[in-house]
Amino acid sequence: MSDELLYLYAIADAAASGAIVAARLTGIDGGRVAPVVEGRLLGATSVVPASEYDEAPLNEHLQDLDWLAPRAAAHQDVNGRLLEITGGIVPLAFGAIYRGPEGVRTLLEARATDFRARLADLDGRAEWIVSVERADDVPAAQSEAVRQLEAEIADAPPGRAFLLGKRREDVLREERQLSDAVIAVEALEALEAGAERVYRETLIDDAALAAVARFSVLVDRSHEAALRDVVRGIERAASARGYRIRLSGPWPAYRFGGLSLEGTLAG
Amino acid sequence: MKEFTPADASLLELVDRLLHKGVVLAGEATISVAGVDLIYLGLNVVLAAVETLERAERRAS
Repeated sequence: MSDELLYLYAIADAAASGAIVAARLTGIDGGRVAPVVEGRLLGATSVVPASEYDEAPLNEHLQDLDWLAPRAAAHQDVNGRLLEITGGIVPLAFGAIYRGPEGVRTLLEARATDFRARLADLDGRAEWIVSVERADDVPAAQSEAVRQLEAEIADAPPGRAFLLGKRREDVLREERQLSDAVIAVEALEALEAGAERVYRETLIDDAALAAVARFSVLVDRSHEAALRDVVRGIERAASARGYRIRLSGPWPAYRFGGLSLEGTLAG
Repeated sequence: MKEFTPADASLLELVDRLLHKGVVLAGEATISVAGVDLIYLGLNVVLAAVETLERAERRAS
């Protein structure tokens, strides 16, 4: 068994092969990024040691953040550069590892039609993440119902004030949930009007996390200034209600590269 | 509006993007063709890694 494996970062058009070689990209653990060409497609790969990346050690390493963090960053660094060099890649999830170039070629050949359609769909485009978050430093607007309850609490004897205080917490929570839902829908509508494709990400159900909605957005590279305008518009409407917006990108199309062209998750 | 590049991304965001998303090649269609050769990460392990990160971030914040 070979003591070297091939780590696969992304799929791209074979025409980019020379540019990828010329860019002399450094991949995970210092390996040189090299294209494996099959037909009109290429896989961008680098050699990694089997002692670290075979199935058992890899699955073990994944639970070690100190091991994972620099390698995840290296994976993204390579794909970020590939996006700039090629104009469009299908970025793979972390950890697609082959025993040699023949496996990569088999993959490229077997899924050539699918990959070519995906590349055509992503060409000249990048992915952005738009997060709508509660701004702790901006108090949400106080509703009339809450103001009334607070006035009653101020005048009430301790027992009743306690119960009214509970009621106030309930009202505040309900109002916040409604406000979160409204701002998420407004942001979605604004993004759908301004971007080619929008995917609403599921959120981790945890009140401690500030995000109330997250979207992956696919836009043409020539329309990135327009996306910023759309996001600024969302923020203008949102900031008065105690939210802030975070924009992150340009990312390779990790989300949209894996969706079917009709918008549902590919198998 | 705060704008970040992928280079500024938190580890959680990076791993969420790279491990949760990204094209996973181990759909049944792929395994039948190339699976013998592909060392595929178990999805449960991937999810466990993301959960580990989420817990770590919560502790830090």
